[in-house]
Amino acid sequence: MNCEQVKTELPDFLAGSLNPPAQARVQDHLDACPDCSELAGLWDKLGAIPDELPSPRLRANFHEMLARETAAPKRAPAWIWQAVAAAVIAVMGFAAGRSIPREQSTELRDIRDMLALSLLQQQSASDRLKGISYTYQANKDDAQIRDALLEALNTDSSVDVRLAAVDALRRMSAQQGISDSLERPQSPLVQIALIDAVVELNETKSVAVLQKLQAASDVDELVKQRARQALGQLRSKGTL
Amino acid sequence: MSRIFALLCLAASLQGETITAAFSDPSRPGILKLRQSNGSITVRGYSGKDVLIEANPNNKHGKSITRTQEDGNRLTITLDPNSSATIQVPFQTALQLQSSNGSIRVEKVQGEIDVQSSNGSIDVRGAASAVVAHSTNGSINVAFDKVDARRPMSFSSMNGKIDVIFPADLKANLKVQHQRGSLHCDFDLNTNAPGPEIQFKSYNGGVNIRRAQQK
Repeated sequence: MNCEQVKTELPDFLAGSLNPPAQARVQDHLDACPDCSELAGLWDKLGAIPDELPSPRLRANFHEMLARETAAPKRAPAWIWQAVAAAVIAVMGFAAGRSIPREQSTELRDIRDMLALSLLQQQSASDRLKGISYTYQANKDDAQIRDALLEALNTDSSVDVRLAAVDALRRMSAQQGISDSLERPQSPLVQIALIDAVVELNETKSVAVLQKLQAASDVDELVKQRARQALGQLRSKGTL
Repeated sequence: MSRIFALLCLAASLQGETITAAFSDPSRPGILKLRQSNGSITVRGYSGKDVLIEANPNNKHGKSITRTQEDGNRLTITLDPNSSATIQVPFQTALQLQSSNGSIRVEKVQGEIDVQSSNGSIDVRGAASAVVAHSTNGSINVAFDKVDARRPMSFSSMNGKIDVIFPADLKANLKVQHQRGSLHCDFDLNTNAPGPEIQFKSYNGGVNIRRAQQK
């Protein structure tokens, strides 16, 4: 059985609706093929997302994403769109029977990105942390993922999720967004993580913000100390 | 999507008060949301279906106003900013608790616990799913009865000490970032083992990760 055949059979395989010999053939292939087994894993995770009521924002994001996908038609196997439809239904509790256009372009990465983006909108902080961990597999220059992480950094109700977002944005080298976020009121621990990040990314544009921070009256004393130290570090890196 | 406003109740009394609130679908685990300024909060799991709120007035008028609002199995409680409260919830309830200056204590709640405090301490006993906890200046103490093997967790504090006890058979990927405080860990760190990622971040306080004693 080759990868293409397995991909065609995968939805039925995961639903357990293949006959036993076919089920075993797909399983044998998954055991041997890391690509297909990763794909199968993603499918499983999509199914595992709790079916909470979607927020209006989540719905808007999905419509946007679908619109973008439909605007760039390329050939892709129909099963992928079945996957997207399944994801939409699984994640958002959308009514079944929506007409999803076929023959559209999307790839394994897009499904994973979509999974990350939808997890970032969940009620549960643990789910949002999981969404952030999935972004580590996205392209470092993926603007949509970066924007979602920036939104988490600047608006998430959980400090722990915001801290995880700083680490993920660091990997994506999102200097600008990290630097901008330093200008907002933030929990001191997040401010320190942001300062660490601008030093590591050598973001010289942050100098003005760091100077403001170290002089501000309403900023935590440890954050001010770290800002002062960071100015010294940027200076010694020869960037000032 | 139809929204259900199942309950909106308003009550006040001169003495400590007990209020009962219900989830619209008790067959599914509900979510309890509470944001408090100055009072201490205790949330305890129990075998009933309803949420029982006992608020103790703590302000000079001796008056406490407790309001609850339920929407899609999510119950939001608003307390008088200065009153402390003891709340009983069904065991499986998920909690989202925030406090500015009061301490937060959670006992025997088996749903996911998302808890934050600026200046108060956080104390969680008998956790059985995932915990995400942050305190800026208070300490964090968490003891797990068991851990949900698929769910990431995070514990962070600027100035407080973080102390977490996991079951002895924990399978997880533990990551610690600490600056000034001490670190003690009974498990292997940064193994990239399969299992959920559990993050610890501390700036000034120490981190203590312990293995539960075998019963």
